[in-house]
Amino acid sequence: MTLSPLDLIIVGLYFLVILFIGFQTARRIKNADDFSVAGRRLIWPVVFSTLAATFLGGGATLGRAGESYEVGYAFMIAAIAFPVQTVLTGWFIAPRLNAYTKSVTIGDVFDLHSGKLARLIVGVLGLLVTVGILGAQGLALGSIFQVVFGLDATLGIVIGMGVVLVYSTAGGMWADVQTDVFQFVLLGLFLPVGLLIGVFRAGGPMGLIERIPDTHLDFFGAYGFWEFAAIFIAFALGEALIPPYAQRALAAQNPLSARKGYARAGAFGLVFYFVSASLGLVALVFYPNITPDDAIPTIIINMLPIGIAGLVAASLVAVIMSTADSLLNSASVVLSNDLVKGFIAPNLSGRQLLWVERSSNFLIGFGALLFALNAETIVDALMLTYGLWGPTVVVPFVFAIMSKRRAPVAIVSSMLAGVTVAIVWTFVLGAPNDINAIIVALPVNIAVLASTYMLIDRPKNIQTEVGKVVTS
Amino acid sequence: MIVLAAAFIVIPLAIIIWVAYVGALGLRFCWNTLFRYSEMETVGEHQHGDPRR
Repeated sequence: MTLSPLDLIIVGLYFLVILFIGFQTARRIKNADDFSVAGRRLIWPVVFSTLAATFLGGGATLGRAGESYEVGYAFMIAAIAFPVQTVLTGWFIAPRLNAYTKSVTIGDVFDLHSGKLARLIVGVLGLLVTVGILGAQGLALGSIFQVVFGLDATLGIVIGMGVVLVYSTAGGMWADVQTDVFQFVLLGLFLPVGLLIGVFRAGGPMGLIERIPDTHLDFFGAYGFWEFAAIFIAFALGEALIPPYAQRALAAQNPLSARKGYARAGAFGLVFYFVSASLGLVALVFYPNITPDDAIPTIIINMLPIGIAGLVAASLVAVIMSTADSLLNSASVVLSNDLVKGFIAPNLSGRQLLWVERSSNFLIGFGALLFALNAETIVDALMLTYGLWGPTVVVPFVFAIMSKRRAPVAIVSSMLAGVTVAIVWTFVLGAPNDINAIIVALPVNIAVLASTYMLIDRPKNIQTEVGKVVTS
Repeated sequence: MIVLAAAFIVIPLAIIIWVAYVGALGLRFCWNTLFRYSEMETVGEHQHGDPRR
């Protein structure tokens, strides 16, 4: 089965609205700050919507539904670590980060607290991580187009990523944010509608529960305690404060907006995971022999009435595109600001920097599109770098922001120790017993940070100049 | 099981209501940014005059 003509028209309208917003927004881009942090003018509902739309990507929808289809709610419960971490980051870190009014990237913040080498490490790592996740979103778009619209995956990647590339290059973060809000409204309204319809098709809530296997309702499921704990920690810190999330805290109009938007987005993620995971269980009840990752697309094309199916299909495309545009914008800002302006051409004027950002945006987006089309192995390789972020950057970053002190030696040495252990564990030893590198590398990262700070940096006790922080 | 059964209804409905509220605030901001500010800038340019004319 495929979608009806009415549903396809709805999806077509969605693409037209997105392109219109993108082009309309392009006129607002007057300087590099507009392109990278939307002029630092976002109110909390916009921070909330754009952040939620960014972290609710293919993994949080298709992935979470697929995992609950396979193992039940246990994976969702372990993955809840991410939204919980987001609430805490929003409450404690986001307002303090927002006070760095001259910074547009994490690299800028590290430069202030540690120096150029820290900027280089976090810039390279941030670029690899964002481009890797971007390529994975491209692949997810291809599979959605294939399953839901019956189109060739290649064509799906070209259409979806092509549209993202156009509006993101034209309108920078302003376009990302404005399309994110629209996309967030779509996904936030219509994926829950899809679940409600599925629940009633199954005979109501109790009827659905009776048809779900008991193993799928277990707290730990088939996981042992340590396996469960490993997933929990990996989700808690694996993508904490990656460039697009940090960028949204910096783009808020004041620290209070950053806190409200960021923390509430985390709380929203907590309940939204339940919707995605439950859609997986609805699919299991009705279609027990499908590929798990096709759970939501299968519900859309087989279960939903005409019109609603188009809206939910558009929501699913919105889920992926809203994540892809934010990652693309972040990757271009990291490349332009941390690497090009930081090392290659430090004296760029504002207008030149904007030109570099737009060019980087186009080149990275085009590269990710090609990788998704022709070189899945490159996307897979880049996704391996995803595991390096948590044990390298997160703890030194939180330390720097909370302490407000300069710690040049401690920050760089802890990052180098964390990334080295993670690389050796993953690539040289092959992740023994499937234990995530973060479990091994994070304690080393923390220990090196604490010891070198106490021995070398603390005696100098140098404070950084950052703005006053709103904490109430 | 009763809690889970209730969650199947309450959570989606709560999300829909919350998204409608926050979405309205967010979309109003976007609308103003997309159209109002553009109009204001255009008016401003006319008032100050274009020095190249």
